[in-house]
Amino acid sequence: MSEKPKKEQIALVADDSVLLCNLLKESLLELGFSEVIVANNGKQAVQAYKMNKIDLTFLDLEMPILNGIETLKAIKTLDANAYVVIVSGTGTAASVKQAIALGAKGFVVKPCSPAKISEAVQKYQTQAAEHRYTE
Amino acid sequence: MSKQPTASNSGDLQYLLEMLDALVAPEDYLSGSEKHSSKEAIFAAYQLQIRQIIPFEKMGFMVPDEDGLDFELEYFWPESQIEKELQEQLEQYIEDRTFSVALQQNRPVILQKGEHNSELEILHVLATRSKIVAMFFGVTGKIKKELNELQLKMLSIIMANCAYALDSNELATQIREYNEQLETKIEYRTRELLTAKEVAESANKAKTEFLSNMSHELRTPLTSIIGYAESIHQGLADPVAQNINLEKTKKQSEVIIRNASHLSQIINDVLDLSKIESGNLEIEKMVFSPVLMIEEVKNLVTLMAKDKNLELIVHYQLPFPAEIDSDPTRLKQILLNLSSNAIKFTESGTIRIEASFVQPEQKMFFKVIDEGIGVAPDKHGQIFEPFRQADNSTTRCFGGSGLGLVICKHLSEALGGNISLKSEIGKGTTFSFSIATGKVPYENLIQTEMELFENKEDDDDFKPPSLQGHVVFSEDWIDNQDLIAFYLENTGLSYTATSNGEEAVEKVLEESPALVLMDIQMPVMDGMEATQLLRACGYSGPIVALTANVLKDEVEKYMANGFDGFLAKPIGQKKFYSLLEQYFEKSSISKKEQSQDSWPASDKFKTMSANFASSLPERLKELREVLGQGDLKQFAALVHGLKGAGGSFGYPEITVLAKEMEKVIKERAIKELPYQVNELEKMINDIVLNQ
Repeated sequence: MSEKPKKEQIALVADDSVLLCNLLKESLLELGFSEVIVANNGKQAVQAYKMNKIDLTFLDLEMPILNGIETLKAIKTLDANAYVVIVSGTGTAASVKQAIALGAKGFVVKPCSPAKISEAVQKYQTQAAEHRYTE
Repeated sequence: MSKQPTASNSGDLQYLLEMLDALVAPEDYLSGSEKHSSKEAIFAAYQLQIRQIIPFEKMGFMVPDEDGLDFELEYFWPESQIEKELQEQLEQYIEDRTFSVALQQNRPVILQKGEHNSELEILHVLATRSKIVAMFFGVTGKIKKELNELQLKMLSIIMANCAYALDSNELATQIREYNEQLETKIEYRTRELLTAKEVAESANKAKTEFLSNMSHELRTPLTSIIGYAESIHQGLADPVAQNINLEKTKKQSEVIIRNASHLSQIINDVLDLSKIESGNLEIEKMVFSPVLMIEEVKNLVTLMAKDKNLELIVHYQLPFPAEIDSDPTRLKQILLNLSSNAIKFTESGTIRIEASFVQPEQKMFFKVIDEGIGVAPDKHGQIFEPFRQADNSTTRCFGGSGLGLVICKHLSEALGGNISLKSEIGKGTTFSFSIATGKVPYENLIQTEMELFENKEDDDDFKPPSLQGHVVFSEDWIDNQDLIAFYLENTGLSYTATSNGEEAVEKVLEESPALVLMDIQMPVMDGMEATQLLRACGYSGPIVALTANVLKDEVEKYMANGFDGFLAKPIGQKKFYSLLEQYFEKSSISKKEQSQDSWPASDKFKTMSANFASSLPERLKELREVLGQGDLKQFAALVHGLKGAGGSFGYPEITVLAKEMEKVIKERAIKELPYQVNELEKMINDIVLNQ
C-alpha cells in the first residue's frame, strides 16, 4: 500500500456486484493504480480489455452473460501475457485448478480482505518488475 | 643283406616260426597283471622282443619332448654306463641329418661302422598313423653278420607295435588323468554344493526364527497397547463412570506409550536393516558438537539406568574436539543402542561410556562398558550377524529385535570406523567402536573439563509457547489430525483441519492463514500438488511439509515445489512447538499486516460499508420474495452475493450465515431456509440498529 508503481498502471475489475466492484476499485486506487475500469459482466470485461491497455485484471468467476472462465479464455486469447487474478465466492479445488490451468496468475476467495488483495497486487508488482509486464 | 646263406626249406620254416614266436610272446606284458603299464615297462618288453630278432649289443629309445622339437634318450639297454655313449652318437646323427632322414621313413636306416664295417648301427622311427612316438637306436656287436630282410621287416613290425603300444598307453594315461581330475572336480563341487545348501538352510532357518521372533516381538507390545486402550475406553464408556480412577488410567496410558515406542523402535530397526541390506542407508554428514550429542544420550540413558538402579558414568578423554564432521543422528543411534543394551543386560553395577579422540588418525573412539551377564567367546562373531542374538533364548528373556548390533556394526563402518567387543561371561562386556571425524584443527580441541560443558544448552522441561494466529493444516490420518489439533490448541493458535490437498487449497485461499502445515501423502490431491496450486494462486505465506520422508533429495524437491520447510514425522511435541515458534516469531511482520485485516477506517470505506449495510433490508425483502415464488435458482444467486460481500464490507457474520444457507440449498433441505432467512433478518436488524 505504501510504494506507488513508477509507471501509470491500469486495472480492470469485473464483478456483477456493483458494491464489490467499488470496493476493489477503491483499494486498487489506494494501492497505486492510476485508473481502474469497472465491468459488471464478462462481455463488458472482454470489451474493456480490447479498448484499454490493461495491466492487471480482477475477474469474478460467477458473472452473467459471460462467466469468469469464458472471460478468462477470451482475454487470454486477446493477450497471452494477460495478468488475471480470479475472484470467487466458492474456491472449489476444481475451479482453482481450472483457472490456474487456463493461465490465471492468482486466485482470491471472497470475502476479499485487504490482505488478500494487497498480497495479489504485490505478487503482480514483483512479477511485473521481473517480467516487464509493464510496457 | 639279402638272404640267409644256409637256408633250407625246412630250416627256413623253422626259423620263420621262431621269429614269429618271438614276435608274439612278449605281448603278454600288455595283458599282464600290470594294468597301468608305464613307458618304461613297454620299452623293456619290446627291448626283449627286439633282441630275440636281432641281438643288439646296445640299444635305446628316444622320445620327443612336448613341442616335438627335440628328442631325449629315455630308455637304454644294457643299463651300464652306455647312456653317454649313445647320447653322443645320436647327437652326431642329428647333426649330420641322418636322424631326420630316419624320422621320415618308416623302415630301418642302417649305418655301417667300425673296422671293415663290421659293426652295424640301426635307427628306426616309431610312428603311428598320425604321429611320431619315438626313435629306436641299436648297435650290433662286431661279430654280427649281415642282417637279413626278414629280421629287418620283423624289426619294423615290432617298432610299429611298440609305437601303438606307447600311444595307447599315453592315451590311457590321459584318460586316467582326466578321470581323476573329473572325480576331484565332482567331489569338490559336491562339497561346495553341500556347503551352499547348509548355508542356505541355516540362513533360511535364521530368517524363519527371526520372523517368528519378530512376530512375537510385535505382538507382545501390541497386546498391551490394545488391551490397555480397550480398558481405558470401556472405563470411559461406562455410564457409571463418574468414579474413573485417574491414577489407574494414567498408569495404563503410560504402559500404552511405553509399548508403542518400543514397537516403533523395533519397526525402525527392521527398516534400517532392510535399508542397509539393500545398500540404501543414507549417511548425512554435518559439523556438530560431539559433547552435546553425548550429553543428550546421557540424559536419555540416565533415565533407563535409574529404573534399574544402575550408575551411569560418562568420561571424556581430553583434549576433545568441540566439533566434528560426521552424521550425528547415526552416531547417536549407535551410542543409544549400545548403552541401552548395556543396561538391558546388567543387573547391578555401573555402565560406563568413554569417549576419546585420536588426532593423527582423525578418529573418535567410544567404549560402552557394562558389568552384565557377558557374551560367551564363541558367540562374539555371531553377535554382529543379522537375525541373531548371542542365544535365541536371549530374545525371549530380554526382548529386542536382535538387530541393534548388526545395525551398529554397519553404521560404524559407514561412518568410517569399526566395532568390536571384549567380554567375559558373568563379568561384563565392553563394546568399542570408532568413527572418522574429518579434520579437527588444533584450536578446535577442548583442553579443560570446564570448557567441555560451556556450551551445554539447558534442556529443561518445556511448556507449549503462547502464540496467536491462524493455521490451516492437512493430514489424512485422523489420529494424527487430532494430535496436531491438540498441540495447536495448547499454543492458543486457531486452526482449520483438512484431510486432503483439495480441502487444504480451498481453506487456505479462503482463510489466508499465517502458516500452512501440509502432509505430503494424501488422497484426492497430495501435498505437493496442493502447494504448487496455492503458490500459483498467489498464496505467499509459509507452507511446511509434514512428512516421514526426509531424505535429502526429497527435501530438496519440497523446497523446489514451493514449501518453506519440513517437519519430520513422527511429530514430537517439542519439535512441533519450536517449529511454530519459529514461524510465529518470523511472522511478526505479517501479524501486523493481519491486524490491518479490517479495512482501514478511511472515509471511503466507511461510506461503502454504510451503503452496503443500508442495502441489506432491501436485499432481505428480495430474498423473501424469491423464496415465496419458489425460485430457488435466483434465491441461491442472492445468497451467493451476500456471501461474497458480507465479509468484504466488514460483516463476516453475514458471510458465515450465507455459507450455511448455500450448503442447505445444495443439500435441498429447503424447509430449513425460512428459519435461516429469519436468522438473517435478526442479524440485519442488529447491523442497521448499530449503524
